Amino acid sequence: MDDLIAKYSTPQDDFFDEDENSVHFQSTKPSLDLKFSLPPISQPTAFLRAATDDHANPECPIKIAHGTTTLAFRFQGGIIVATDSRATAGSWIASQTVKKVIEINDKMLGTMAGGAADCQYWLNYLGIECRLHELRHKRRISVAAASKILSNLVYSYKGMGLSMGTMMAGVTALEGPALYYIDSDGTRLSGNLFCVGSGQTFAYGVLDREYDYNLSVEDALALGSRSILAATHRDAYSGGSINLYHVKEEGWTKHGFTDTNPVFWKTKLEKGEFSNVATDF
Amino acid sequence: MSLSSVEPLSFDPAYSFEASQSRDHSGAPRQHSFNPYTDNGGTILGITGDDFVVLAGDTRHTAGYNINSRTERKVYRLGDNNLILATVGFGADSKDVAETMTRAVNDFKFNHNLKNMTVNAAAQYLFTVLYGNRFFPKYTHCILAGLDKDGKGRLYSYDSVGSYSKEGERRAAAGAASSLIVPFLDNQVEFKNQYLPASNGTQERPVEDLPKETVIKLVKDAFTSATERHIEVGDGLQIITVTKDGVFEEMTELKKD
Repeated sequence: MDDLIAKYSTPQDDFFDEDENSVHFQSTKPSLDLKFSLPPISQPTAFLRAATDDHANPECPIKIAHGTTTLAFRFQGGIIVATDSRATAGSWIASQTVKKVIEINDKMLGTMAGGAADCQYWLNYLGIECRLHELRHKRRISVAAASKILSNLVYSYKGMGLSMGTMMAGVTALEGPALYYIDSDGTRLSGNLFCVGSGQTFAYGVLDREYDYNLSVEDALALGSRSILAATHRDAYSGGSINLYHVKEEGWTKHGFTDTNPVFWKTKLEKGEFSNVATDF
Repeated sequence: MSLSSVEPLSFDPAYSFEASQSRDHSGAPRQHSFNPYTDNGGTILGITGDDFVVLAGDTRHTAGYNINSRTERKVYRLGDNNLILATVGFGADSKDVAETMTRAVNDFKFNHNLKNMTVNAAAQYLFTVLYGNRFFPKYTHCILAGLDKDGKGRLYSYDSVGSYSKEGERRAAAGAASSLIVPFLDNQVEFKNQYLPASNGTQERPVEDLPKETVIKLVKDAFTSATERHIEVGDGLQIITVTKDGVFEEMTELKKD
C-alpha cells in the first residue's frame, strides 16, 4: 500500500495536521542559543566574502573546501543516495575520504555539497530539532517538515555567506519515499531526482538516460554508483570513493565506501564502457 | 643615531594579505580595509598508532620573510589529562583557540566530579568553538589528539570553520608545508600506491598500525625534509607523544637557515 501511495503521489507541503502546524509557527527562529561572533566592522558580509570566497577573491586567505558530486533519486524500492568523497581547496586535494552523506538520524539522510562545516553544523542542528519533534509529538517528523526547518534556517542567514547544497531523503508512512533539495539561497524543492555539485551535469547525463521509477533495488544501486563514477571521471573536483546508501521505510542501509579506481577499471574492462580511455600506449 | 631618525620598517612582503598600501600624501581618497589576519607559517603533523598518538610542530614563527621567533611552540596540552592540540595559521587566533579549549577542558573536569573530558567530546566541542566564529573565522587549522576510553589513539583534523571527521584519522598535517608532508604520509602511513611485491601490482599492501619508534622516525624525516624545501619551516621540532603511561614532550633541533 505504501508503495502505491508513494508511486502516485509526490510529497506535499500542506499535509501537516493542526499539531504540526502549531510547532511550525513556534520554531521560525532558531530555538537553540546560537551565538556567532561577528567582525567589528560595518559590513561583516563584505569582509567575509573577501576573506573566504575564493570565487570572488582567488587570493583569499581562508579557503573553504568546495567541489563535489552528490545525487539522490526516488524509485519503487525507496531512495538511493550516492556521493563522491573528494574535498578540494583551490587545486589542492584536501581529502579523498570525506563522508558527504550525513546521517541525520537512523531514518533520514542528508547530503553535503558546498562548505563542509556549514553542512555538518546545520544538519547536526537539524538532527537535534528532529529529535525534539519526536519527543514533543511522539512520532517521527516528516521529511517535508524537516527540510523546511533547514530551508527557513538558511534563509534567515541569507547574504551571510553560508554555502550549502543539500538533499534530504527519508521514507515515512505519511509521505512514502520523500526527497528534497535545499540550498543556501533558500531554495527548497521536492522531486524524484537531483544531482548537486560541480559534477552534477555529468551525473545527470548518466542518471537521466537510465532512470526508471520501477528499477529493481540492485539496478538502482548500480545506477547511483555508475552516475557518480561518470562524474568523477569528467569532473576534476570530484573523485576518491563512491559512498552509496539505500533509504527504506525501516531506515537507511549503507552499501559501501568504494575506491573509484578499481570500480573504473572493472567497468571498463568487464563491461566495455569508457572506450575513450586507451589501454595500450 | 637617535631612534627617531631610523626609517620606519618596511612591511613590503604582503604577509598580512592586504593590498599594498599607497604611501602618497596627495590627498586623493584612499581605501582602507580590514586586515585582521597574518600567516605566521609553520607546520604541524599528527600520526596515530594502536595505543598511542603523536603530534608534532616546528617552532619557527614568521611574518613574510622575517623570522619573529625560533622557539614558539605550537602543540599544547589541554589541562592535566591525555588531550593534546596542535594549531597552525595566524599565531594569535591559534593561541586563542588553544586557550579556549584548555579552559573548556578544565571547566568540564571541575563541573563533572573530576572526570576528564573524553577525546571525542573535546573533538565535538572544538567543532562548535570554530563554527561559533563562522562569520569571523579564526585563521587557524587544528589537529586534536588523545586516547579514547579503550586506550586507543585518536586524531581529528579541522578546517578553519570546524569541519572534521567523527571517525578520526590515522594521520594529518596542516600549515605551510602540508602539501609537502601529506603525500609522504599517504605513502608511508596509509601505504598508498604500495603493492605486495609478489602480486605484480594487483594487490594493495594492507594498512597496519605502526610501532611508536617508526612513527617518531617518520615525523623527524617529514620535518627535516620540509625544512630543506620550505622557508617557513625550521629551527626546532616539538614532538608530543601520548601513551597510557602519560604525555611526553621531546624537543629536537632543525636547521636554522
